[in-house]
Amino acid sequence: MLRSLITLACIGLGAGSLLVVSNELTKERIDANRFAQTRQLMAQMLGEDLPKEVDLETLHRCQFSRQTVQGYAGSIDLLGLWRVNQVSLRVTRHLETPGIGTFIDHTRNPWMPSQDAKSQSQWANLDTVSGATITTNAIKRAAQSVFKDMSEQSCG
Amino acid sequence: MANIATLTDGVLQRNPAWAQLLGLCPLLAVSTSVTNALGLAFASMFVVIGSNVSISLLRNFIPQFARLPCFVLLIATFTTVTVMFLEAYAYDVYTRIALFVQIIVTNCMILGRAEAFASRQRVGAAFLDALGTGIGFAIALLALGAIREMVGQGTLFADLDLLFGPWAGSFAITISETEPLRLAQFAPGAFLIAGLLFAFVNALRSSTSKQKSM
Repeated sequence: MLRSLITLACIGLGAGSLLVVSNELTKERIDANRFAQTRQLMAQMLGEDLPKEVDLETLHRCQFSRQTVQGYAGSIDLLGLWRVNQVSLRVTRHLETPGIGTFIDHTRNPWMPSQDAKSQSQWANLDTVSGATITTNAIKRAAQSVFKDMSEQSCG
Repeated sequence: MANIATLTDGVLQRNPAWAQLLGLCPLLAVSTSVTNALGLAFASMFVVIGSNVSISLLRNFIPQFARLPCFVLLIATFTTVTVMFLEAYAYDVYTRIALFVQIIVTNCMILGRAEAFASRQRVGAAFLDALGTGIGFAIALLALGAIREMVGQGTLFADLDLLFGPWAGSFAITISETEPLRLAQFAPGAFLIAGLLFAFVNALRSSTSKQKSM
C-alpha cells in the first residue's frame, strides 16, 4: 500500500514539474501574444490605429475597461469601450460551449458587434439568448461593470 | 518486422477514425480546413506519443487499482503542455481550435491505446503504436479537412502561414471563384462527408482483403 502511494505521489510530482517547466518556457510568449491581440482589438473597436507608443494605462483608464466575469463553463474576459455613455464589448477569452454559448465570440458570430454602442439601460434590458441564460447574464454583468468603472474615473 | 506491423496496423487496420470510429468529436469539429486539421493532428500526435511512451515506461510501477487515474493524469499533463506551446508559438491557430485541443484529454483514442497497448508493451513498441495511431488520425483529419475546405471555402491550404510562418502563405490555392457549398463547413456537412469518406475507405479495404483471400 505504502509503495503504491509513494509511486502515485512520484507520478504526480513528475507531471507537476513538467507543467511548471513548460509554463516557464512559454509564459513570456503567451503574454506577448495576448497583449498583441488586445491591442489589435482596441484599434478595431476605436476604428483607428493605436499610436505605436501608446500608454495603455491611460487608454485603459479613460476609454477601455477590462472585465472578467463568470460564464457557464469558466471565466469570460472582455474588453469594454466607453464612448459618451455608450458601451461596446468584445470577448477576448472564453470557455463557453461551442454552438450554444459561443455567440458572444465576435470572430464567429455577429451578435456582439450588433450590440455595439448601447446605453446602460439598453444593456440592462438586453434580450436573453435562449439556451444561454447564464452566458447572456454574464455579458450583462460585464457591461454594468464597465459603466461602474467609467463613472468612478475622472477623465478630463 | 513485428515493429513495422505495429506501425502500419495503427495507420490502416486499426485506424482510429475509419476503423474504430474513435475521437470523432474533435475530428468532425476541427476538420474545416487543412490548417486547422494539421494543428489538431500535430497536437494529438504529440499527446498520444507522450502518453504512450511515459505509460509504457511506468507500466511496472503504476498500481493496478489506480491505473486509469494515472493514465488520465499523464494524458492531461501532455495535453496541457501542448496547449501552452500552441498558444505560445501558433496563437492564431490556437484561438481557432483551442477548445478541441483541450479536450484531447478525453479523446478515447488516446486512453484506448494507453489501456490496450502501452500499459502492456515495451517502450519501443508503444512508441511505434502511438506513431501509427497519430499518423492514422492525421490522415483522416487531413483528408476531411482538404475536402471540406475545397467544397466549403473553395480554397486549399489557406492560412498555412499561421502554423509555419510567412513562407507557407504562398501554398494557398484558390480552387473555385464561385460561391462555395457552405454546408460542408458546418456540422451536418462534416457528418455527411465523413460518412461517405469512411464508407469509401472501408469498401476499398474489404475489396482488397477479398482479393487477398482468393
